[in-house]
Amino acid sequence: MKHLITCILLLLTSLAVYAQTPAWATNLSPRIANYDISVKLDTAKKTLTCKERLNWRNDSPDVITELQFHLYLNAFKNTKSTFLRSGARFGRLPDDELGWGWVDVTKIIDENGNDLTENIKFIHPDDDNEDDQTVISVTLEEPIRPGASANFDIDFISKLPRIIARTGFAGDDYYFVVQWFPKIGVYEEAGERYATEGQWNCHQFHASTEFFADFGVYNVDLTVPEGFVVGASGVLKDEKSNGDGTKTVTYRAEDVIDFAWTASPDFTVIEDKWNRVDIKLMIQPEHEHNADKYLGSVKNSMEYLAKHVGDYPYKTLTIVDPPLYGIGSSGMEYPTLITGVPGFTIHEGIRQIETVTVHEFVHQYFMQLVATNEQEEAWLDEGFTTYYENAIMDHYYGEKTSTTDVGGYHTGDKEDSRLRYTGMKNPSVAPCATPGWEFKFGGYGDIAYGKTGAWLEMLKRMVGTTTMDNIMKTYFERWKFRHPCGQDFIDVVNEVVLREHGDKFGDDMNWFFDQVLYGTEVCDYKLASISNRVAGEPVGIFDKEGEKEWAAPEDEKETEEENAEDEIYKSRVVVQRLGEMMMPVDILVHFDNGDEVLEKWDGKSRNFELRYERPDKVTWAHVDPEQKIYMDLNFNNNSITKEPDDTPIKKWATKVLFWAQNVLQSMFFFF
Amino acid sequence: MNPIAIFFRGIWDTFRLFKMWLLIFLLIFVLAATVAVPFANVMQNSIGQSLELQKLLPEYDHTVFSDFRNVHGDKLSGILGQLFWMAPLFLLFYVFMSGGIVKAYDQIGQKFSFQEFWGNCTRYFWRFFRLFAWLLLFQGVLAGIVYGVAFFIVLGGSWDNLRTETPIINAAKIVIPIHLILATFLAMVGDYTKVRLVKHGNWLVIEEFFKAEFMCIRYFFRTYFAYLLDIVLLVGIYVLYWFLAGKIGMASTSAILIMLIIQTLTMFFRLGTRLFALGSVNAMYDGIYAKENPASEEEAEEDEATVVAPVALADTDRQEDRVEDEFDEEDQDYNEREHITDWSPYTGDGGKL
Ligand SMILES: [Zn+2]
Repeated sequence: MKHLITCILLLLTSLAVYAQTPAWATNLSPRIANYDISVKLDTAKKTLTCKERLNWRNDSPDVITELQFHLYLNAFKNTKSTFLRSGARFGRLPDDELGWGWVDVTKIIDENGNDLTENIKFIHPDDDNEDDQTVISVTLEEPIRPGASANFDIDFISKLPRIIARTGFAGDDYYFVVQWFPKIGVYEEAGERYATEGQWNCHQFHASTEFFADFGVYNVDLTVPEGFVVGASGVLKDEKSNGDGTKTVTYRAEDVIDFAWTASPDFTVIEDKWNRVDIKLMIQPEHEHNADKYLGSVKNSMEYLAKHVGDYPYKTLTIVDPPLYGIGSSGMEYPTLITGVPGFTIHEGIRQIETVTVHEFVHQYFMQLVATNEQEEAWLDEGFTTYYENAIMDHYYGEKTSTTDVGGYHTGDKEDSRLRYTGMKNPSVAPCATPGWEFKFGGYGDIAYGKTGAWLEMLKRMVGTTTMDNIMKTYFERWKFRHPCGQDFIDVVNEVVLREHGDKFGDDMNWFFDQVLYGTEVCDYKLASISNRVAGEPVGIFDKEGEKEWAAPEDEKETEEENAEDEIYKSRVVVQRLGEMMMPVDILVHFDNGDEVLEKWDGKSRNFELRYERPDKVTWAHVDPEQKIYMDLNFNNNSITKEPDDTPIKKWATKVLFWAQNVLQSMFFFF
Repeated sequence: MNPIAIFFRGIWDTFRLFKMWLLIFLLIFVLAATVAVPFANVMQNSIGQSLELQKLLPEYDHTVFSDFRNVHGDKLSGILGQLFWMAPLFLLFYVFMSGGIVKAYDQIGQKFSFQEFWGNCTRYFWRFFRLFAWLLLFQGVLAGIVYGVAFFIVLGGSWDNLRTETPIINAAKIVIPIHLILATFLAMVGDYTKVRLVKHGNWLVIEEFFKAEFMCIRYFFRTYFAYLLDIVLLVGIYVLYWFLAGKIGMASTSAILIMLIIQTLTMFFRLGTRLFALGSVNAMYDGIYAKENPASEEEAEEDEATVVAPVALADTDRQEDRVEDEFDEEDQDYNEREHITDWSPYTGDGGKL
């Protein structure tokens, strides 16, 4: 019987899954933008001479008469680009012609032979910078009908810059080639994400924003010098020598949103495996001692995310360890290819390589598989990635030791991320939901990464780990290989929380997102005071049998006095809300007989008091004792104890005394 | 002149000057306390009643400490800022005290008096200050040369040639020890210069510096070995400290008290190693001087007040018309004899610096 029920349940489940499976079920993704590109690298001129065949499908109900493309490399053509105008510094500007980068589309022809080259014009959808050349519009001679596909042959030359914003060359022979080809924008039909009508989503390249693209298949032939070791997104299909000192390697990447590659004669390749994923570590020989840090942390990430979010569906993962002189390409994520940080390990307890590797791998889920718009909603990729980076680092390397653990000084990744936000000079500088290029007064990283990480952790602590896992699994399964927006995530949260907690948090969680995502309020709850007084008899003049009778006051005793056996205490605990953010909080009150009472407060009023009349005094009280409200700017003011123990102060003052003497004595070491 | 004997002699003489040692230590301790006590007060007044405070007892807690710093950072940076300006001022004061310290070793065996000590501090300050300025310059030039040469050898003078961090790490393994050896040698020459300035009453700081340098080079192994022993002792003190700190921890009042005592002793003996070095330099100098000048050795033996150094020698024919510090008359004899020593390339006619 039990088996029968199980079988029926399984059948129903698979039917349900089948019913939800999208039309492109045979492939992993909708495969809208597909590229076949052949590339010839000229190592002297630092150019890529390329032929691209783009196959694009109109997945909308609209007739398409114009295409839009990103020409990212033009951000590095001159200082008039929107990218370089922003003043964001990615190292110094090149002092030679070779250092600048650009991309020229020399020819574009549609499948019917119409030459569209003359129809190319630069546009600037985000600002009025006429000189920005990072987006082009190409008017079509023959419109593309809904559901139809079209092919375009595009000839282009990409001049690589000396590495800036991760892309380019360094030294003579290190190439990290990303954002390098004319990449079609995303056409959003009305109702998709925030589109109210059909529109191209093709933003200019800004210094503080990343990318947004449709899924597709890439077949790329890379012709490079024979001695170069090549790594790229996807799977290596072929490698053949051309007999002229060059070789051509062919990669195929399926169901991805971008294609990145690297080449250098210096890489050492170390191969590893996790389940069915082939992991390829391309490491500099001088960093080989870091191999275990890279491979260990990436396998930890794969294990954790498979358990808490979903499966990594690709067959390969390439980790690139850049050389020191190519450090500008470090710490970045591309489909099935990530970069770490170059570094000599000074101490095993400094886990920068692990932290960066974990972070970049998590991006395979949040922005690569769940392909959110990194430009408009950086929090959806950087914030989610921070949240899982924190969880993975703390899980595998210790909650208080995951990022640094050196000689008694230790920090955890999650607390580091929270402090990135709580330590801001102005944590209200902009809401999380601000588009990347509109953080004009700073705070992009601290808000998109730190604040989002903190409120996702807060959400988890409020709804519980199981519910949070279910939220993330549902969000991932529903939106992988698609383009969700923030509201889509909120919808999933509302759905799962309502299903698992009923109306415990209200009809929905919008009140939460209004504050943490769209608002700039900060959160700070404070345990303001505790007082205990002996409850005396009433005093004053009382009417008694027609007479006025005076009840004399006893000495009202302060709590600090001896605890008389039969005394009753009037105790008062006051909690205050210092910030504008309102979150439901618990207050734990501890009495001197060991009793503890957990009180609930909706956290809305400015002040909140708890009163007790009992034979025990309140010894301490703690608002939010489990630190669920992880965005609270100051946990130290969340509690007060009437029996403080200053031993820790003695300890740290002693340490400071020692340090200060050391500083003073160091002054005359050489004199 | 056996460096090991001289090393122990430096320690022994320092214990004989225990009052002076204690005075300097207490000064440092009190200055450090002016940082530690306000720090404790800020902590007490800000998070003294918080339950979070207890997380700082077993170990460091990044969240508690950072929240504390975020909210009370102004007060903390004020306290740290105090240390920032106090340290160089203290260095100046140390330079001031150096004259008194070196003179005390020179007069070892005589009764130590604070009045005389402060008098000597004042008396030699200007010369010692100039020596300090020269040493600062020389140390800067030395570091510039060592790292500059390394920069040219390893990177051809341009960071653009930096391909990997390996050459830097490898170079650092060689260059930093070389720099430390040369810098300590320079510091040692500085100490010998101090001793010479006190013993000979010369005002020509740079002349005495070069005389000291030539002497140190000529007697390199014994001078540097004796000096190095003090540095080894210093390292040993810290190794012992870290060992004990690791064993004891600071998680209870009694452990904190024990650590306070250990830290205080560590600091006391760290200061001691600096003084031991000055003491042994003084003793070594006397030994070398006696060897170079057999006549003075005889006089030294006659002088009961000092074991090796003939400090209070009679004022003999004074030929130089250079303006001398009025207190320096007694040192003139030393100064005169100096000129006949074969290892000195200078004869005292350098410009006043
Ligand atoms: Zn990221």
